[in-house]
Amino acid sequence: MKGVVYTLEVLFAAALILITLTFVFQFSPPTVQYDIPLMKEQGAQALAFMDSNYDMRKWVADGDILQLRSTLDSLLPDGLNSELVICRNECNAGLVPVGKSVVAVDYYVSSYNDEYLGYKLRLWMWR
Amino acid sequence: MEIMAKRKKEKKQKGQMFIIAAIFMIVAIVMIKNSIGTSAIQEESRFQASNTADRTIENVRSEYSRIAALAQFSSQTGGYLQDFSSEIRHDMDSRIFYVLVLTNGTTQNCNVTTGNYLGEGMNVSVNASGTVASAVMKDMSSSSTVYHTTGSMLLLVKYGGDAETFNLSTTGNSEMIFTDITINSGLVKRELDKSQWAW
Repeated sequence: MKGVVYTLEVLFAAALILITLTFVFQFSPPTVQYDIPLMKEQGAQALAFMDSNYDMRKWVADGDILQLRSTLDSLLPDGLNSELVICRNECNAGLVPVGKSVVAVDYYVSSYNDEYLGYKLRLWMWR
Repeated sequence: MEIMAKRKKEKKQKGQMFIIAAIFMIVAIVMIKNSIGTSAIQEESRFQASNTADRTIENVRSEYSRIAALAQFSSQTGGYLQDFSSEIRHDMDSRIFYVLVLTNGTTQNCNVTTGNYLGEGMNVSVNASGTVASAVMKDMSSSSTVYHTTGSMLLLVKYGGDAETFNLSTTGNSEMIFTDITINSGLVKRELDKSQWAW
């Protein structure tokens, strides 16, 4: 009889630990929280790289959004969706999906050669 | 009889120890999970956010230099700086103060433009080799003063509790831009920069 009670106590203790482990680790790590700063950094890095290594300012001055988008697509990682616009102050977010975690990065392009532009590139990204 | 009762009690306590040990283990598991589970991810997120904030402030700073460089081609540079500063203020939590100094070798004039986008009215004084102009500048405003001098000039600009000194030569055409930029994107970053050109 005593042996049965001990066994039950051990089983109870083991069950308690298993239940706690299941409860504590049932949630996956907060990947979304991590993902957002990473996406922002990838976007900011791609825009800065495009400014340093391509004719980005000329394309902005010419309003050549297609060239900007295609170059940016080649710089951003696969699986990352993006939308890019050239704007001042308010930026139209027409093609940005609703109901998804979307991050935005601004990159200022104030001038090109001897011309003041006062534009910025706004890049939206989502997975 | 008493000895038997003691032994029974001791044996019963042995069984309870499993449950007590289990409770200690549970507390330890929860504590370890809370301390390690998310801290590494949060640290990485902070690192990435800090990198992005650095890139943003670098982008803003370099654009001020680019706009200042337009002074060689246009007399509208003061207006461009105002326009750009207003846009930055519109887009993000930022505090910016700038000083643009243009010297003209032909007229021997020195044009000093200050811009206050620090988020509050600020007492700004410009001491140009002893000639002092002082005023309270409203937030989101700029002011220009022209000084005439021959040869060199020492310019001391005080704004709030900060000050910046410029050593100028008015024998040729030159310009200087000083920027004090602070942005708050969750992380507060401040950068002071001074650039100079002559042509």
